[in-house]
Amino acid sequence: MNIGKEKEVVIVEPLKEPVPAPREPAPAPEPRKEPVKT
Amino acid sequence: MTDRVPDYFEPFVGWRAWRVRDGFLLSHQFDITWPTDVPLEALCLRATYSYPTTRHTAAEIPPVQGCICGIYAATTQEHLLTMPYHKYHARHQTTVVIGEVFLWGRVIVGDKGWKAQYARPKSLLLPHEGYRFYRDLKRRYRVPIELKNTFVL
Repeated sequence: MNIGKEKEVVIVEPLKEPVPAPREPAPAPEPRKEPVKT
Repeated sequence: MTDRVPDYFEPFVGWRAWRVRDGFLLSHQFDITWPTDVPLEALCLRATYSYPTTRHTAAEIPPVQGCICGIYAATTQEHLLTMPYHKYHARHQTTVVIGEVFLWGRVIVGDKGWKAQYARPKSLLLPHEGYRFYRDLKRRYRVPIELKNTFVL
């Protein structure tokens, strides 16, 4: 493969496997609203 | 890897071509099967192939400037497609895929591409006639694969 003129040597950090995002806790259920007595 | 402070903290992403054999990716020019579970690490093959190259000691880590060693990739898909991989495909009846590749470690930066110490596929474009390799490539390399004819024969 032709990569053109070689210019410089660099050091590149390794590939890091994607870290799964921490699971967010499920939102707490809203408190049950008592029917308003009229 | 070396103890040198890195110049970049994310792998480069280049474009390259592979041959497909028995559902595995092979380097286009050399008969090297790309591993499925670990990165490919560059070796210097100058003792195997009689290319005129810069001599360097075995202690030097590939890629070495002026030598053929290193894992090659183009900076753009457009530049990759200017190279005649599709002609090789037509002549040898071999399925050729192209795709993105992560590159890291010791990397030689060129005007139009890179030569790297380590590489791993990132995504593949599989020509329609190679559809039968889809499942094996997907299962083994675990990368996104799109069925797409990128070469105009």
